[in-house]
Amino acid sequence: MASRRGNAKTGEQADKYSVLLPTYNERENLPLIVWLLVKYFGESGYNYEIIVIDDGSPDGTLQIAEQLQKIYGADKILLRPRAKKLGLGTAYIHGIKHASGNFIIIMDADLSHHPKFIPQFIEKQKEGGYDLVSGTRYRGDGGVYGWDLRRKLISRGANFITQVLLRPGASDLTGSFRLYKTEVLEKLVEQCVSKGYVFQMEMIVRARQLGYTVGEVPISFVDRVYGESKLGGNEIVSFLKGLLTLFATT
Amino acid sequence: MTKLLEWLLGVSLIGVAWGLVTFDLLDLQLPPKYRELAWPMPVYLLVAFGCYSLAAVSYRVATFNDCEDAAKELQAQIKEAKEDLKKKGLKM
Repeated sequence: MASRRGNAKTGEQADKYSVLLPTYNERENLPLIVWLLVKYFGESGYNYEIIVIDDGSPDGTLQIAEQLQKIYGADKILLRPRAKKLGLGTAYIHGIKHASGNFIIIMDADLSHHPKFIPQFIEKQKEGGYDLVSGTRYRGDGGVYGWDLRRKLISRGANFITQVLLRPGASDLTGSFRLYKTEVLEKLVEQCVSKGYVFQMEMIVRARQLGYTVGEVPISFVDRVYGESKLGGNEIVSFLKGLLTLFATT
Repeated sequence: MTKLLEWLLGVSLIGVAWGLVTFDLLDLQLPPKYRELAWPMPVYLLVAFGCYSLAAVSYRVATFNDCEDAAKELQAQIKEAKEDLKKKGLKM
């Protein structure tokens, strides 16, 4: 695997970016996110592939993905489905195994993360030679759309507590729009044990522990499904539990 | 060292310093002004931190960017994408 990534490609650049898209019931959004990825990668000229990791979606996401593969080519759209809904960490591990890029981009497939930021991630990474670049909603002109006061308060409050306790050197820890060097992502996923929001936090905390460098790019997060995904008491409790675990063990 | 241990260490050091000064444990015969100042310090610091936290979170919530333009742009691009994909043969 290392030799595949190390070789200079016949294209202009040796760097290749593998986008991991774990999907579950994203029949509507998948074509749109793929279209946007193709658009922005095409315009920027970077070499890329999109790896769709569908966890047995009952709504036919995989069939839509197959159509997209016919339209854009099997070298650009890779399908690596799984039988049922398994965790995000294992989705990344699964995706990495099939990725031929020396960089991996992780993002949500529901259009809350916009591919227009990817060229900015890439440039930022080149600028500082960062091991990982994280999209932040909390700095610069980063931000959100579709959040009410309660959601914003919880988000900022949780982030504040996290900053005080973990001093992580990154402004947005629960974000999941990031660019990693492939070997860095591999190493980190191996080490991380948490789930959900805390998993993303743990990735950055461990990255800092292992001496990896983290760059940041402001992003806009457009939440279209907030009405359905409530940030309830349960999620807050499990977040705090996870945070305290990280506090005590890292 | 874990963050928890760092905190415990930091708090212990501050606690020891506070105890030494407030209760004059080393019998240094410090001027009473020092002792008077040191005695309520822990409470002052906690209150100060509490106020700072409230202020910081309130400020950050108030200045949390609302990306209206991003949402509009996304809507427009979704339309464009749907038309283009239809042309390319996608059956939704």
